[in-house]
Amino acid sequence: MQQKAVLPTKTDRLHTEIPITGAEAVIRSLLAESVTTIFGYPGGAIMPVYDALYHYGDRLNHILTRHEQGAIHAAQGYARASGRVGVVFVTSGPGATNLVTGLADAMIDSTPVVCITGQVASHLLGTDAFQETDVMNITIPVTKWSVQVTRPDDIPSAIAKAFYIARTGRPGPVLIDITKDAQLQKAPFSYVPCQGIKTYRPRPVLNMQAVQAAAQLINSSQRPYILAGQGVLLSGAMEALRRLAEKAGIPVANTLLGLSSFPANHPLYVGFLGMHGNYSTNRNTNECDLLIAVGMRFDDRVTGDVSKYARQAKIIHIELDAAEINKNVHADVAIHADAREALEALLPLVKPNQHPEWLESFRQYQQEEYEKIMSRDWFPASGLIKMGEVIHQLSERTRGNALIVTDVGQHQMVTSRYYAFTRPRTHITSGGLGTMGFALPAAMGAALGAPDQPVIAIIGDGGFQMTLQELGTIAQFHIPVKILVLNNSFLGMVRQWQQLFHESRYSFTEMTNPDFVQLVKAYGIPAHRVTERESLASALDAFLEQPGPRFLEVKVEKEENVFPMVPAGASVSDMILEVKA
Amino acid sequence: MKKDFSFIVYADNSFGILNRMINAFNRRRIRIRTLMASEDEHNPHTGSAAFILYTTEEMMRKVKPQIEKFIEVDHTQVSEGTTAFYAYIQQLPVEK
Ligand SMILES: Cc1ncc(C[n+]2csc(CCOP(=O)(O)OP(=O)(O)O)c2C)c(N)n1
Repeated sequence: MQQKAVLPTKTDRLHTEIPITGAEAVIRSLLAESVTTIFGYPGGAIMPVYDALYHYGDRLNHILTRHEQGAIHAAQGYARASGRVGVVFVTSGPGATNLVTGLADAMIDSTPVVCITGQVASHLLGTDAFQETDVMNITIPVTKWSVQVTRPDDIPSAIAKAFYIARTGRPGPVLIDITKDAQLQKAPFSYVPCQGIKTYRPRPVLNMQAVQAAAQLINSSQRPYILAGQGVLLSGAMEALRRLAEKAGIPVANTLLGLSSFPANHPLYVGFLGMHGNYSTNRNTNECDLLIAVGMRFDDRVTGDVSKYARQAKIIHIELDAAEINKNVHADVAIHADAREALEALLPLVKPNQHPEWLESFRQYQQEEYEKIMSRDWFPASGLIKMGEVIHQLSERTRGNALIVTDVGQHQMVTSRYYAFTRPRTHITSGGLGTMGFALPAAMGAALGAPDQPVIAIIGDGGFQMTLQELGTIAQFHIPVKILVLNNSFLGMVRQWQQLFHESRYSFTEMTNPDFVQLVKAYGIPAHRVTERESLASALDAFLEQPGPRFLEVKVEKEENVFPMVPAGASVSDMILEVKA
Repeated sequence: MKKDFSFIVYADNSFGILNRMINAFNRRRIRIRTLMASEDEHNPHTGSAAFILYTTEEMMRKVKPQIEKFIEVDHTQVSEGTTAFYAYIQQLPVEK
């Protein structure tokens, strides 16, 4: 039976006399931050907060996930789809440690989440009490900031600071650990939103000299090339990016997390970068004379062998996080700034220009890639269904308009290559950490964060089994997520590497799977399977058209490889289109 | 080439900040030869930590902004050799 995420209780306590309990201060602080949705899982050390939540049933939606990892991934999906801060409640000990993967994921992919963990009473700290764990030290490397609160008076200011830190600058996860006595004791309540922190300067002052130097490089370049990362989406620089590219006639490629920041149907869009990116985008990195990197961090999956990366080119790096500048790749001009602010400042200084021959060089590589790879992936004449044709058809059927959440593996790379994203913030994936099991819970969060958009989770059979208990959450709260599992009965990406680099020794990558359709049906979610090419189109139509949650399993070719590929440790120029038999 | 650097961090004195700094060095396998941390004599909410680190210039250049981006860190000073570290120690108040 479908259940609402809100309880049938009415908020009758907002104006109760102060002082209030720390637990209630948590709830009122969240309301002051305009929070509407919380993902969580209760337990002993967070029970006072859940009890306070009970009294605010008409104000706050709480989604009870089936695992704390599901809660934090859902909060990540919510944050990335809505542009707001995701909120998580969990208990101490195992509840808190179950957050670690999600925190690490949010940290590396710059996702704003605030996690509130219950903790044993303060006199028990450090005593190995039941469900006491040193969550503060465990999570230091995977949080942007963390704080332990032991007094109810400190709760509102800790929460205010947490939200400010999570969403400003380069966003990231924040953890607030609250001891049970602090939740139970009373203190006066007043909430003052955080406006700034003395030692934290999230928005650097734009250096106009650097902007002018960048403009000069752009104006004198013959073969300029923009690499757009997630910083474009996070700063809302999509329009500024488009205007700059159009004015100066510069081709634009996206990193994995930058996908959807520039419309795939734009004539200046050249594709996806990195190990399984497009041929033209990688090859031309080593052909351009100017690389303009916007809100990206030159991850090793993008650069390949960094010593052979864009050596011929001048590099402009626009980046908000100073620690990313000159970390992997030396910048000739570094603009330490918010991407939007920098691009808007650059725009009037850049001269109108066109680079038809340079663009044509992309088209030639694209043609070659189309003939050798895409045409075969999209329109195979025989054999089992290929991942490429599923994603190509999905992209066509949704006109690149759906909000796509991918897991990790071959299906993720195929989606990044073939789904033609046309609207900003419609691509959510685990990029930096590459967390299998991310997509299903993240898609739930995305559906709640962007309720007007169709949300499709694309997952491999391996990753699906890492968090599939969240089907229970989807069913209980009737979250309208479409789940597309591309089942090759293998840990496909690892199998591909075993085939290519370990002489086909398939060491523990084949999987005997359950009947997914029966399994999903047991959760009360309508589920179907396609095995034949002839039925694929109609199955996709039915899958997309029906409202509410839905599941479609597509049995795909078992030993298909994703090409082209920059082999690990090779240069982007050495991208291979195919492996000669 | 690896050599000694004096690295001094001025920060808010909160639980965990020293661990954050040490983690950042450990993660990059930077050897900490000496460490001295202290509360500010006049304001216990702020403090500083001084390190002698044995590493390369490039590593020093890369780790510095990683430390500076911690929320509580106000600023850092880096210099080659150990002189700055010992000068820092000298100016710490001595218990009478
Ligand atoms: C939590 C986790 N464990 C292991 C890996 C290593 N890994 C990367 S891709 C992959 C295979 C994924 O298989 P599947 O989910 O079936 O997707 P496919 O590659 O077949 O599309 C594995 C095991 C990972 N990324 N995350």
